[in-house]
Amino acid sequence: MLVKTVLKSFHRYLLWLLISVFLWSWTFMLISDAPREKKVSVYYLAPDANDTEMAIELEKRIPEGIEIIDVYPFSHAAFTSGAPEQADIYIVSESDLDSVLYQLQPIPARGGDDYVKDGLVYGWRIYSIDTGEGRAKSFIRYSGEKGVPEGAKPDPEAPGSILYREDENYYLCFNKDSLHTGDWNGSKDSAALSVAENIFLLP
Amino acid sequence: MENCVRELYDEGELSRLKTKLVIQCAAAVLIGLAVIGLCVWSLLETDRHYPAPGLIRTIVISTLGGWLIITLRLLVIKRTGYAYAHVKAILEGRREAVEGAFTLTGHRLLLEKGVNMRTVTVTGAERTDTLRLWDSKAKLFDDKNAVKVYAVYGFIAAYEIGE
Repeated sequence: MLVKTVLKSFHRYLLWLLISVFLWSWTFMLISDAPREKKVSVYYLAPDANDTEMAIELEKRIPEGIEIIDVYPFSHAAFTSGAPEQADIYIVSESDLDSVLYQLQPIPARGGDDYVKDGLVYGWRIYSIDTGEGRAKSFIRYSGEKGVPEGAKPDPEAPGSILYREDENYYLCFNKDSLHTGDWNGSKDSAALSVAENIFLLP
Repeated sequence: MENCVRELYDEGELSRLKTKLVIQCAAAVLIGLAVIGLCVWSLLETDRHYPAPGLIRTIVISTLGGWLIITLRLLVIKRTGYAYAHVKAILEGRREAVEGAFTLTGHRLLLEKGVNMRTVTVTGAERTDTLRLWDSKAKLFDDKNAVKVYAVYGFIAAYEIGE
């Protein structure tokens, strides 16, 4: 009799399960995020990266006034409309730089390895094709195909994929609309610069 | 020689049921608050970089807590609520006297809201009728010696025994 009563109300149990899943997932998203003013976002356009570990590593030296550092692949933009435009730092391959140039902040030269276009510096080289040396290499894989170990023969279909990259130079750039690039665009703080320096310190 | 009327319901019973209902509702609310508290704690303990284990833990706590409250409501609170409403309706309703010979049958009838009723057949001079008696009152009803019953909405509220 009791089982029958419970089974008769099965839809209530199912409904509560669904409410639980959506309610807590949404609540978690709310409390685990921070407004742009208190967050530095790094977007990378590379075959693969250990973005979570990289974010944790960068948060060990989090700039003052910043609560969260996020590291996302560009494909994440498919789920969060407008997110790349609100990012602070981009890590982009040389061949992709032209397509995002409109979003980049002209920056001071760092050395002879900068990306220069029309006399303006837009990116600092973070990975060099000539030497194979790069920063944050233990977190970001700069060549090959997603899911295929570096150096392994890529899938012949892969070169057409957005996740496939020939070996090429990579640059670290800044969003011209970033809220954390200090005097460059009149932002209140320069937290993105600190985070960028920390990325250059990563092995 | 006067007949003796035996009441099956009284105000004390209504008061006890009300207290029981309040306690059960309060228990459900307390369980709900405890579940919400546990969920908030679990959520705050969740590592935002690796949210899956913490989120699953929170969802499991919330789901099981919610199911417990739903079950409590279905199997306990709803029945007490119906019993309270039933007793109140009997005490406040208009009584109708029915005379005849009464037989308490073994047939049990589960009302929609989950309260068991027994059926009592009334064999009178003109026709046979059926009344309902709350299962918990069956032991108090002396059908062999009853000569008249007082029913409210077809439910037996009191009966008379011939002296």
